[in-house]
Amino acid sequence: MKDLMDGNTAAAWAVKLARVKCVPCFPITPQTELIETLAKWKSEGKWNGEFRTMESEHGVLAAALGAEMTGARTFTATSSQGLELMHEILPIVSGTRNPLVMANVSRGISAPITLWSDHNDFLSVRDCGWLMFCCETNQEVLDTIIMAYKISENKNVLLPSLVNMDGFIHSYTRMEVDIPDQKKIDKFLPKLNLKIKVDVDNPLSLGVPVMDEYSFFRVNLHKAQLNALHVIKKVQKEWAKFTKRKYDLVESYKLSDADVALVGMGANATVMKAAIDSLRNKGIRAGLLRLRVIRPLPKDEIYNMLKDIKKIAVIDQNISPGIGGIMFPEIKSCLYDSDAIVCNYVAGLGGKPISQQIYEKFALETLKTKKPFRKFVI
Amino acid sequence: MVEKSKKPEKRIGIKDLPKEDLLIGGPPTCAGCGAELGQKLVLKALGKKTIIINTSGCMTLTPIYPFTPFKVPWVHVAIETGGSAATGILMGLRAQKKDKNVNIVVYAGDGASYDVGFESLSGMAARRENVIYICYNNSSFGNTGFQWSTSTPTGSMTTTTPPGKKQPIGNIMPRKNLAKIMAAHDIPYVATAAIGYPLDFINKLRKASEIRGPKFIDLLTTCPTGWGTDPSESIEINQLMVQAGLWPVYEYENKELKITIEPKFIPVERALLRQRRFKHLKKEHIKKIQEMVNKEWKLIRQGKYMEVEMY
Amino acid sequence: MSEVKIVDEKKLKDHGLKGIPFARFGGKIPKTGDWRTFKPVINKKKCIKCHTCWLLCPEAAIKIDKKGYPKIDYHVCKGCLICFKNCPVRAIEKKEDLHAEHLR
Repeated sequence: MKDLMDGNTAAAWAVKLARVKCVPCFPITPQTELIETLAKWKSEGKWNGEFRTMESEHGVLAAALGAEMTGARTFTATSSQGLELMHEILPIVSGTRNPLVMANVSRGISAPITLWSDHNDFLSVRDCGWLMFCCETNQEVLDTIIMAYKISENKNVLLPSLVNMDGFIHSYTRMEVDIPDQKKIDKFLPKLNLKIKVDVDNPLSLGVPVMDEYSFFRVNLHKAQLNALHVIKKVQKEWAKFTKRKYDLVESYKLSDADVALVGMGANATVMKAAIDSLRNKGIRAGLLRLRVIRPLPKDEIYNMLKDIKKIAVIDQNISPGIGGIMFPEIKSCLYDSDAIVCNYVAGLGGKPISQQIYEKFALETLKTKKPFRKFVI
Repeated sequence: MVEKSKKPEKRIGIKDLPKEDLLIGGPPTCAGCGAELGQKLVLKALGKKTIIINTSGCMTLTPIYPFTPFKVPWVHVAIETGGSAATGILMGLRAQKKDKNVNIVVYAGDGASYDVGFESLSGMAARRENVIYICYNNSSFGNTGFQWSTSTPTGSMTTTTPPGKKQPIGNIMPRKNLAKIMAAHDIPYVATAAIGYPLDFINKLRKASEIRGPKFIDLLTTCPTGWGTDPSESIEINQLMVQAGLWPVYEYENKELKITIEPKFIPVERALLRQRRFKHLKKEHIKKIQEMVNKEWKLIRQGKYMEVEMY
Repeated sequence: MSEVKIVDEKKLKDHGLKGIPFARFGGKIPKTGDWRTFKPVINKKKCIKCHTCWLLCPEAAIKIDKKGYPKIDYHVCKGCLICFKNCPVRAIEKKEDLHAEHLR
């Protein structure tokens, strides 16, 4: 069934289709309408999960963890400052191996306080052990949230997932979204069956302190992330079978014979694609690598797709003051033996609109350069 | 007129309690730990279908991987997530229709309840969640070595309020009264208890488990390490604190305050000067503390203890 | 010194449920009995089976036997002597126990 809907509504549909049982939440622009939709559906009887507005985002994530620990499929959503407030609990969710799924409606972090989107909040979760997905369209948001449950709940993974959509561009803009059939989703995503959970009939102590074994458990998280690479590919393949929508760990757009590549993620990838098309019409062989899965970082796929391209520009819609863009060193580290010139653009902070012409300019500058550079759009 | 100690109906005695324990010894807690005794009594009163939610503190180290002393589910999230993790567990169980007759108990320290976890406790109470919240109160941040918290009473030495020339009393601030604050949330059951009166505590737990909604019990637990008392005196010191009137033991439901342990009002120095944390107190400090106790009990006797000034 | 294992990323193993930090009841119990310097000893002749010591032991180290007498588990008794102090008829004696390491 196709409909026009914004990203918040698409995410709410994913929650309904995945038969999520618990949603603790807290409002924050630009996520508020997501939880409002669920609250409305609950009061109309269209969705019958447990819904609570908690006293803060910190409480939200603790409650989400508690609910997931009992074996009930749980969802929550947040943004920027909310995600920052959740930071204490983020590694606790992954460390206790709980398959929670959270949506982040990205928004620039304070200070200075702003409302519009960039990826600093999303990327600040990189070290927390969560699986991270960055979406380009509202359709991808709906698809990824449902797939994230299947990936996270896999017994060789058991890690929480963070699915990112851009604030305002996704959350408040309506795009065409196909809502899959509930019966097909039920077949794709069976009931959650956690082995280690809070259960009075099978008492366990969860979240116990450890002494020497700490590094064993922490390295295990890395192993689980490596397992996730295979599981994500498998689940995406299964998804493609009945929805006819294909997803990869990274999306390559006109990259196979490119002389210059842009690397980007999020909603701006659509604008970048338009820039690539325009450059191709002018005879310039440009291509785009869209990052979709950030953790686990698909090093092999990124390497394979970029190794033969001589000029690469990583477009970071984020900034790590003191080093520059966040994804730039990560991409560069994947290209360990390539002699490509890799440049970095920090563009689009706080939702600053970067037009197609500017992306074309980035590609042309990168193509011409003989030395790598870092540039910042102010 | 406030009713004085009236025996609640169906009072449980030692012989009525189940002989089996739902936890065992082995945790590396201090010898004579009041909080550990409290934990045992909670499970004694509430039985097998209890989930204990712990917050970071002394009791977090009762299980140490791979050992756990608990025969019931035990969950630890973070220091300030007592109320919120309990809400989450309640949500999850209710969503799976597994919450019938299950006691969801938060056993949190006073640091994690009065201070850092207050937001989640207040949120849990305001949302009227069916949770029993027990604050084991050693009047400090105990696990980190006895630092000041908002539950530390006037005159107590702590490592962050040490008595010295400029501040001879040690801690000059009065303690926060969390039981009163929880009563102001209008929850169905609020009580204080003390480890020196274990049967009173168990009776309150049994009563709380039969009430629907948020319940709060502030349990005074002796910390021999922090308070500076001999481990064998944990019960005795606790009883002295109650008998001096320093820790009123009551329950509050239906807007009625009932004193369940009527103190004999021994002079406060008999309770205070046996603890190393109060040994530095001079005569004028003890007089000040005695006046504070007298004032508190005057309000109790006048029936004005739980009153909050309204505009 | 704790054991040091150096493992190549390609050789990291899956540990299944053992890779999750949880504990199940029934494992090896730490013998905190070797902390004590004094141990409580119950004198059954004086004991009136009031079970106060059983109620007050913080370690749950005192169990009630079939005849109703309290029995102390010395593997976990830390020697806090709360039972000794609170027995209403002084039926518990305090004995020196400086060689508790034989329990290990």
